[in-house]
Amino acid sequence: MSRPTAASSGPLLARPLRFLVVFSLLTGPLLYAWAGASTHYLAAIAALANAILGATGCPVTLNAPTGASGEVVHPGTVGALALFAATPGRPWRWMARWALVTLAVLVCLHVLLLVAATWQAWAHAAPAAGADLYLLPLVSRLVNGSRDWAPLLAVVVIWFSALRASTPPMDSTA
Amino acid sequence: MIPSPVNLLTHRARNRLGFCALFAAYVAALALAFEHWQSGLGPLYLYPVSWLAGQILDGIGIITLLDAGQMGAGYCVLSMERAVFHVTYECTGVTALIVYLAAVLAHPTSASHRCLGVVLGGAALFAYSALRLVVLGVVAQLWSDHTQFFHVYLLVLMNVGFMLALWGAWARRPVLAWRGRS
Repeated sequence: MSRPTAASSGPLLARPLRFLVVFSLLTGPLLYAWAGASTHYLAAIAALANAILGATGCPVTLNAPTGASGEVVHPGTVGALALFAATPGRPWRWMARWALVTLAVLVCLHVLLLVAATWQAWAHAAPAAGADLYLLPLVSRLVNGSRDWAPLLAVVVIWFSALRASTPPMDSTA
Repeated sequence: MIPSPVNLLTHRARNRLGFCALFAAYVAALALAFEHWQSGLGPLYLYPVSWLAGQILDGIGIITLLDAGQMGAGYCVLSMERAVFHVTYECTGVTALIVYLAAVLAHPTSASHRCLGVVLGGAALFAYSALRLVVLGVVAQLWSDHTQFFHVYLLVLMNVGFMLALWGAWARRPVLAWRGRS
C-alpha cells in the first residue's frame, strides 16, 4: 500500500494571482483571433473526420461551413494555449512543448468526437443501412456524456501533468 | 526478483500518474454524484448563487427579479429590464467546481489541508459564480451585443482560469509524494 510522505519540491503553480491576471488578459484577444481562424480549424477537423468515416464504411461526408457564422468553434483550444502561456516560472520551451502536446491531443479528441457523433446520427437516420445497433447506445452515451467534458478534462490533466513533470526546486521559487 | 512496472517508474512519474488517475476517478465519481443528486442541489447551490447575483445586481442599480419556480426543472430565472437569464447548473460553474474538488481531493497532502481546500475553495467558487452572473447581467444590460461572446466563450474559459488559479493558491503548500512501501 502506498502512503504519502513529504517531498521537497516547490509550489506547483508559483504566483497564482499573476497566473489568473495573465490568463485573463490573454484569453479575450486570443478568442477574438480564434473566431476567424476556427473556421479553418473546423475545415481541417472535418477533412480528417471524413477520411476516418470513409475508411470505416460510413457513407456520410461532412461539409464545414465556409462563411462567417459568428460561432467560435472549440474555444477551449485557445484556452489551452492561454493556460500554458500564463503559467509563471516556466521556460518558453516548456510552454511551447506542452502547448503543442495539448493541441495534438485536442485535435485527436475533436476528430474522434466528430466521427462518433456522425456515426451516431447516421445510425439513427438509417438503422437498416448496416450500422452496428449493438454499439449505438454505448456510442451515444459516450458522445453525449463526453462532448463537453472530454476536451476540458484533457487540457486540465495535461496541465497538471506538465506542472508535476517539471516542478522547480523549493529554493528556486522562494 | 522481477521488478513490477510501477517500481520502474521514478518517484516523480509515479507521483504524476497517481495524481492524474486519482483526479480522473474523483471527477467521474463527483460527476455521477451530481447527476444522481442534482435535484437536491437546487436549494443548496443553484438558488443561493442566483439569489446572491440578483441581490448584487439590485445593489448596483439593475433591478432584477428572481423566479425559483422552475428549480425542479434545473434552472432559476433572473429577469432584468433588458435580459432574462435562465440560470442552469452550468451557468453557476458546477463543472469548474467538480474539477476543482477532484483536484483538491487527488492532491497528495494532509486531510486537514484538503478540508481547508474544499471549504474555502468551495466558498470562493460560489462567490465567483455569483460575480460571473453579475458581470453577465451588466454586459447584457449595457452591451447586449456582446452577451453571447461573454456567456458562451469568455466567461466559460475564465471559469477554468479561476478554478486552476484557486487550486494553485491552495496547493502552494509543500506536497506529499506517493511512495510505495519499502
